Amino acid sequence: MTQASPTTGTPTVEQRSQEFRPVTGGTTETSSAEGLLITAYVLMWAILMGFLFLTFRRQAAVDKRLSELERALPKRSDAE
Amino acid sequence: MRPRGLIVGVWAVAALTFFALILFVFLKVPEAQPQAGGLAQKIFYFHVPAAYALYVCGGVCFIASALYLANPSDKRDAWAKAGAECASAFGGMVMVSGPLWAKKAWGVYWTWDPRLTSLLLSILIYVALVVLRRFAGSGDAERRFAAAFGILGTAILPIVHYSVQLWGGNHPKVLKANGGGGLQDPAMVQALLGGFFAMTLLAGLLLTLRAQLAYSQARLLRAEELAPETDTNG
Repeated sequence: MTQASPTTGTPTVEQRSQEFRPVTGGTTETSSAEGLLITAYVLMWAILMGFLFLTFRRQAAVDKRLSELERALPKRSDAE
Repeated sequence: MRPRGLIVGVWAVAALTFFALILFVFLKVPEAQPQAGGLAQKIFYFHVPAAYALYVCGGVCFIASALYLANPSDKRDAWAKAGAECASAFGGMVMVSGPLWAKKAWGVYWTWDPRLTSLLLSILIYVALVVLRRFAGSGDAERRFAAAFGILGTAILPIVHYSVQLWGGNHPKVLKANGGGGLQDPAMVQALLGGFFAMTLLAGLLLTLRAQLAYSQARLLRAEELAPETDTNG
């Protein structure tokens, strides 16, 4: 094992954390407010747009099936 | 017959309202104090109205379900189904936006707070209802079970609403006159009222659209049952 030079700033094996100690107070919240805000807005609109897309797609499927039935009806009456 | 022009007009008003509201929230409404999330607090102006829209859709689901149980009809079932579907969608919006705000304000995305937990339970009931309606068929027994489930889901909403007052927790009670901090700037109040107006329009439109779809599906199903021998493959 090679040891990093102290001048490079990389901790040596002996300097690295070999145990975990509890700290009081926790760390300061570092999440970006801008990032969270934009993510929230994008996700909310994505849900809305997805919901609308599914609605229109299902409505189109229903309309298609209805027109198929309508087209089939004259055929039946002609056959009779 | 529903006037198509009116529906298009309401969609246009809703779209313009949302566009104007987003601009207003980002450009005019001041940032809140860091303890409330700072800039992330602006999620509030859509988060709270989305939760209100969930209540509206849950209310529609409750009324239509109760009416269906009293006197079954395709239209009542369609509105109950639409209410549950829209409540799930708005619930998704609330559940996505809330944790992102909480991350900044509380330091965590999620905590088992009474409001959050009860709302999650309520949304899961609506989602279960949607899944049930999608995969369990549309027989009379399934519809009646779904109606009872819809009533149960909405019966939890008052518990969700009053959970903060009853059991406390992390969730703010901003809209409560006594005990809540309130909105300390007129622009904040205007943004919230704008959010309520926009979400009311959106909830009404989505409910109408989904109820129309559910009713069309029910009619189509009945038409197919009545004419099973109809050949539609040419």
